[in-house]
Amino acid sequence: MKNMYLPFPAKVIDILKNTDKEYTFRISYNDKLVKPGQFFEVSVPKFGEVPISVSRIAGDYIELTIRKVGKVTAEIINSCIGNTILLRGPYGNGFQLHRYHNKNVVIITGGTGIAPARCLIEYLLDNELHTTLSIIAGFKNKENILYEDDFATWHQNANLLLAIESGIKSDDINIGLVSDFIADLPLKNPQNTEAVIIGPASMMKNCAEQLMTFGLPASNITLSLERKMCCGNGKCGHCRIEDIYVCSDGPVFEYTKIRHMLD
Amino acid sequence: MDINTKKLKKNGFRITTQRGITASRIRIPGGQLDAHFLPIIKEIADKYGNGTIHLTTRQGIEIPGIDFANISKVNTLLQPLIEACDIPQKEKYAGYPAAGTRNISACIGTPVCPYACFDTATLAKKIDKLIYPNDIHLKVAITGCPMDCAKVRMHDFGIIGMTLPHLEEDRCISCGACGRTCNIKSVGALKAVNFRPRRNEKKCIGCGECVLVCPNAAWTRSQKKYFMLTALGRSGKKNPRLAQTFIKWADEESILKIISNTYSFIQKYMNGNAPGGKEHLGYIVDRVGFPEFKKWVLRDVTLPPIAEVSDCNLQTGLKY
Amino acid sequence: MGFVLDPLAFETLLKQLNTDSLIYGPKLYKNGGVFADTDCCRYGKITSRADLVLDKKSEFSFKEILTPVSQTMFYFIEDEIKEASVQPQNIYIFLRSCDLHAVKVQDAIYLQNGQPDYYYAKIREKVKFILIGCPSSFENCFCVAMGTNKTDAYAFSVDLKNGNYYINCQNDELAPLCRQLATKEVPVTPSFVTTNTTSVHCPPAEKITRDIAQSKLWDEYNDRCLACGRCTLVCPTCTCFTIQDFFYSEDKKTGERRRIMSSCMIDGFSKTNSNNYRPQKSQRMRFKVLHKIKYFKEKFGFNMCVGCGRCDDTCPEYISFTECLKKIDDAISEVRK
Repeated sequence: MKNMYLPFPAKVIDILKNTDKEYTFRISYNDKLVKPGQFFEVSVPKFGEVPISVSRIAGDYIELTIRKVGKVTAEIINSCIGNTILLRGPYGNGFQLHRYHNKNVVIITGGTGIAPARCLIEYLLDNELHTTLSIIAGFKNKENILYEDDFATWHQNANLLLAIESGIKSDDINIGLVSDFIADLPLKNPQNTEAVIIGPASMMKNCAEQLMTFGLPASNITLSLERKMCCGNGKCGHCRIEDIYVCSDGPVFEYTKIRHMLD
Repeated sequence: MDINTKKLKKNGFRITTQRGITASRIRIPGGQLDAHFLPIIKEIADKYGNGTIHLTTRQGIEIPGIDFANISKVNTLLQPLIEACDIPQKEKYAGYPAAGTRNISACIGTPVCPYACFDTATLAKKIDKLIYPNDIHLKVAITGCPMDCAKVRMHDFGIIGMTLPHLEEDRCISCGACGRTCNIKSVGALKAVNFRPRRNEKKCIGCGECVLVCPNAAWTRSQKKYFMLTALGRSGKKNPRLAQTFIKWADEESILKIISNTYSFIQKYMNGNAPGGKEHLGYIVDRVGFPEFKKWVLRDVTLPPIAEVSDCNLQTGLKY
Repeated sequence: MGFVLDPLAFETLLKQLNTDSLIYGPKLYKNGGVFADTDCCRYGKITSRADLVLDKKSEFSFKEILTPVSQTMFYFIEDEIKEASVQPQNIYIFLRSCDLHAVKVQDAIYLQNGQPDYYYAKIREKVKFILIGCPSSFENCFCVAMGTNKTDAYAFSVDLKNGNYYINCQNDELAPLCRQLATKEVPVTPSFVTTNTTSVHCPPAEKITRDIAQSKLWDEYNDRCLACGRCTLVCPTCTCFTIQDFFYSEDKKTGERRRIMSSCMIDGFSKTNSNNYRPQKSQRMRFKVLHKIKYFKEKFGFNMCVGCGRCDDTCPEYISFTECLKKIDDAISEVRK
């Protein structure tokens, strides 16, 4: 029997500093198994494991954006340049990519929620899926903005709206919460629109409810949940909500499934 | 009226503010009494006393308002109570044989209190048997845990229950309850190392809070009972002071031996000219010095290997 | 096949099983209780019939054998990852009917939900169960209400009656040994209770609506519950764990990854760096109780709670699970009105 807890080493090709706290790890990875929305359990032996969603899938590497928030992430960032990192996964179900063919797609992200979203955005932009893509990406302030280098490409092929909660307005940057800009989205054909929202729980709920007031059916809205996940495989129980396990049944869910859940 | 007040006092009665009227002082070691004997107390109070009783500060019961003439009748009635409390007696139906060494007071202990580390009343009775009857004035009190509800540090000897906590590492779930509780309620002797508590043996006072809050029986109590022995606390009009810790992690056997050694020490050094012919232990030690006291009381005492003996600083307390 | 074994023969049976297997069962740990001068009955290695406690409910459950409280998964030695070995011997576990039903719950989570758990599977395949008959119900037991008072999923059963051990052996490999040791061969049916002193009606999963999950009935637990986690640690059906990494303080180059039992009632269980899900004790109580009687059932088809009542036995604040079930039941009837 396979020991599902046994991590495999992967070579860290490069580490890109995104912000003071966020670092993107480019990791050598050739398996075609991973898809947008999935995550890996990333670890430094003797320090711990953390679930990190995949933020880019390229031919022979993947990228994982890690936010320095605790002991484990700090150690990952400090100790891994030019080294190997341990991975388990990919885990979770990821996005149902077929949903977005020939659709208007709206992607709304808050903070680091943009990491799994980038993976999906690039998939939609790189494949001929006949989608019209609108993105609202929100951050706390200018210093927290992630993936600025990618924005030029996104601007060319999608409607990109950047919002920060506080700071100075400029040509590219709006001030406000992401939900403030939903009314500006081209939602003429809500039935043919698919929305993806990733961010803090209250932000996702706000945005989803607002999109529904514009006629989007709840079944056209997809969220990705963040939870404590130790095992990645429906065992440890930390990520359970009612009868679902976020790690194995999610982390990507249709809004209809989780709309009324209490936790 | 001709009464030998010395004899009257030794017999467990007292001179009161009212001439010719006494009060019977009932000794209840550990403050534990079978309720079955309460009617005797009621009978004495109704028949010979003024119908009231007083619960004393040392957990005895005092029956006031008794005429000197009725002392022997009261002693006759007290007999079953004296026997029930297992109090050594020289002569049956003659009442109490001494009053010097005071009733051993104690908190309620393990049968009832969750915090207690041992059965206080049982030890109180054991000590009572060892040092009573005796005319030497000595106060001993017992308390189940370092919370010291019995205020034993106000006594010549205070016995504080301790438990030596043992961590079965593999039962620990890293919930942190022990460390938090030790910090908030006790001495902060626990520090997390690799997600598990590590006990600072020097700091730990054996209160057992870690065992009490551990949800998974990872912390358990030692089979052996340990005690903190505090010495030379006192109230009084000269220099009241709180007792200091004399021995940490003592065991029952060594404590019993130390207490009985103390009587030899007092006999050797007591100033017979002191008022009432009695000099309190604390003042004797103040006079002859702590090292001499320590030498006498630790004679032939075998302490457990983990025991820590400290010298008490006598220059403390309130100086009027 | 039924056998009667006298104490000496039963002792021999245990010794025989012990030659190539480990035996675990309820055992009395003298002075092992929370309070001074109290004992603790919990699972431990049984080497003699004197170790085995058949007349008490263990405070902690058998699950500690299948999923150890603390289990090393890997050793890290320099750059090498070494998988921790699992002890190779076969295992016999003495347990009661309710606990045997709890094994199904453990199996469902560890073997069926997602990929099978490597460490659990390795231990589980070595385990055989010995049923302890229940001639009468203990305090707080409500197995009858949960339908877990009877079972036949055991290798053999043991009932101690008038000093002799009555055994119903369902395992063909063990039957010859029992026959050889028995004073007589008679039909034996293990004792099962048919009534409990705690009578409760378990509210049906489908009747527990979101209104009930959001009802005020949970609020009282905010004040009452200490979030100590005892109810889940003693529960034979709770399975949650946390993974920990550390290096040895003496040698930073080596360390371990282990998993330890954890509890949804304890602070931090659902805390991430950005959010603390279920910060309130009322929410945790709801999360736990509804898992036991609703959400698990909706996923796996049978109730998680087996009615052993250990949670009620252990709660230092006297919070009763069955009393909570009654409150849910009352809330359902109120909604119906």
